[in-house]
Amino acid sequence: MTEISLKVENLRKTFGNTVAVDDVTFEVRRGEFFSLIGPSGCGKTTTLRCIAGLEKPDKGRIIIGERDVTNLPPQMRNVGLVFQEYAVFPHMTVYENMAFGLKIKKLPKDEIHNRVLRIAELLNLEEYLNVRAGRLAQALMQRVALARSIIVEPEILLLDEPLTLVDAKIKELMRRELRRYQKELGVTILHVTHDQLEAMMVSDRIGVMCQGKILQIGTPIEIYDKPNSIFVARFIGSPTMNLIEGRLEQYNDELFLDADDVGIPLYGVSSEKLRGYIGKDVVLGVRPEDIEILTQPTEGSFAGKITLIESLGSKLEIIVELNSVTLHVLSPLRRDLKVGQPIHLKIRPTKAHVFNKTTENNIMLEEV
Amino acid sequence: MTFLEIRNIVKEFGGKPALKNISFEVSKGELFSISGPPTAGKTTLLKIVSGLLTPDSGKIYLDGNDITETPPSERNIGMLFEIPPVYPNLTGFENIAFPLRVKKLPESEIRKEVLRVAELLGIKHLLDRHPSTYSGGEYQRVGLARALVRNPKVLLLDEPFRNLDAKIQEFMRTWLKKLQKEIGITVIHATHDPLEAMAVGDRVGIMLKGELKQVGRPDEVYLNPMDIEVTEYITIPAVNLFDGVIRIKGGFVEIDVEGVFSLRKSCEAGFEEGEEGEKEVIVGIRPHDLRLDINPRRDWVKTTLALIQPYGSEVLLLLKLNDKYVRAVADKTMMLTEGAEIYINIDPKNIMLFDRKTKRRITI
Repeated sequence: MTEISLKVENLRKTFGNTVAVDDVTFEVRRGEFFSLIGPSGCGKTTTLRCIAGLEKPDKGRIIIGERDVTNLPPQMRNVGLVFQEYAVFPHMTVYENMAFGLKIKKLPKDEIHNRVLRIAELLNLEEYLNVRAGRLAQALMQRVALARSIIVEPEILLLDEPLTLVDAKIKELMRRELRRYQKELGVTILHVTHDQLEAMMVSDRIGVMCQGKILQIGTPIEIYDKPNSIFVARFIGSPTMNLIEGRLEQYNDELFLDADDVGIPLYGVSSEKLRGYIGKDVVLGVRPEDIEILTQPTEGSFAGKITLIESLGSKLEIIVELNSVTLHVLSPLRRDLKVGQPIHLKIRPTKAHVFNKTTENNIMLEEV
Repeated sequence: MTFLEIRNIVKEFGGKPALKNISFEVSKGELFSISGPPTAGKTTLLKIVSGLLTPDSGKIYLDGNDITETPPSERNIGMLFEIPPVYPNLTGFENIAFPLRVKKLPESEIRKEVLRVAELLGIKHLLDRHPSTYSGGEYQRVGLARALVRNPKVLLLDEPFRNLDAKIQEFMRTWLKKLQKEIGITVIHATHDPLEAMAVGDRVGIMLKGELKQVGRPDEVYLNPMDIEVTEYITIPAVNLFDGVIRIKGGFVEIDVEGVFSLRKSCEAGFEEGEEGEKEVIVGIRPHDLRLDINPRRDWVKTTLALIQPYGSEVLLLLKLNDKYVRAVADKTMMLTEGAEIYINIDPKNIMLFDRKTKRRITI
């Protein structure tokens, strides 16, 4: 049986006439890394602040461990908090920073000493124990902030955009460290971020939020491969998924999207779930890496023209126009393509998503 | 053709060098991206180009004229910062009109110019609203409109997207590049993110510790970085570096990588003309270039998979090789579990070699 560290039930929070959190329900299992993601204003930070006890919800229950903490003050909730700005005292040494929370709890001296040494060893901070925290590099300072929070052994650690202000180059290192230490220590984490790539890299599961609601919960790969709605499809993945409006049509058993002046074949897509949608308006979604660029036409291909080539380091982002439709294609490095060149495109078999235009739900995930 | 030339710019702050003899040229209509870590000197350089700072020595030429001594207001250079100076108590229209009002232009002309730029940037709906109602991307676009309204010859962008949500950043990059091509304005763009620079710039300049180390097209710089520092800076996920020794013998080079890999490839030149023998090197291999298999293969090396991190369409792997960690990238469809054995191999064609003493790239 999986133990649950945090249970949020039907949480609702309004500010004046604005509904910030709208009937949110989810659980975080013990030892799990769970991320809430969404654009600015989606309610993810308000949800976190309600859990921490910094905001009082209008409705709903918050259970941490076995206890209903909905009406308890922050310090009684057994949660740790790490914010965007590092919560370390720059004038104190790393040791003093780590011992701080334990001193407040009035733990015996040798117990404090033992815990500091144990956590310092686990987080590779031993050699910095006597260094003033303000003198440390960004990545190390964040590690000290983490050490400070986990040393008091909270039931769950709440991270609010901890890596947002970090430089691009150090971010990758810190995302790796965060995930490794979380696994090694077995800590339970609820993490809030606007950065979908970061959430994918560190999480066991992700909840995608939009306008106060959680739209989808799943593992990073589930959410990436099977987004349940247009919003999730667009929010997860970079470059963004191509979304093309048109009418679903069938010709000689093959399905295709009729988008005004362009016909896009949905090569190899099983038609069973789509049958009821033939002749109706839908939105076709294809990830940029699921489109192949060919120099010769083949079965299931369609023609276009390259309008822009961008270097993404190890990859190319190629922008292709087919009359009124623009597609972004992600390709491995290749040198045979030029701007202005006519080419042929093909959607990789089974990689097309089709969304209901009215409900914006993914038709492929509907029960038949 | 050179439109803007930066020649031998030197700047010190309190005896500390901030810019060490910076020279580069930008063509008319070009988008030039400068990338480097914080404190590399990017902002100092942009301030010198705009006239907000005076260089200790060196010259700036714009359109054939020496503008080194020209005051900022007469340079006709627009600038957009990370946090643009948008006044909260003015509407979008008044914010954009502000620089024109300072110039005391007639009302009808101001109106025409503000509408022209607003149309261009797709922000007409923001003109009557106050900045407090803007999203991050809208705020930045109004700031950009303000910088563009005087029809500047050059536009300087200093970390224009840094404060935005990741998803909006991505959108703004493409938007900026399209807009820049549409209006044909000359731009210098500075960012701490090498991937942003490569995605946006027609050419990129890599700036490290006050030095402009390398300038070129994004793909050129990525494929042929000049030394270890540049390679480490521009490669995300981080490049793997190993100590190695190369030996040249009769048309072949043998590359020993930390006693773990032994590679061999043909080589035309020696280290120098006719030279044979041994050299200590650092071998660089990018995570994307490491070959992986879950089954043992002859001459491949066994590692243990320590960490899997989904990375969009791919997964990032951390592999334990003896007591060292190696980073690799795999396809998402590869069936992987943490703790399992993974076999790795290096294609000699994909490695980069650096002289261990000078840290410079060597080609053989």
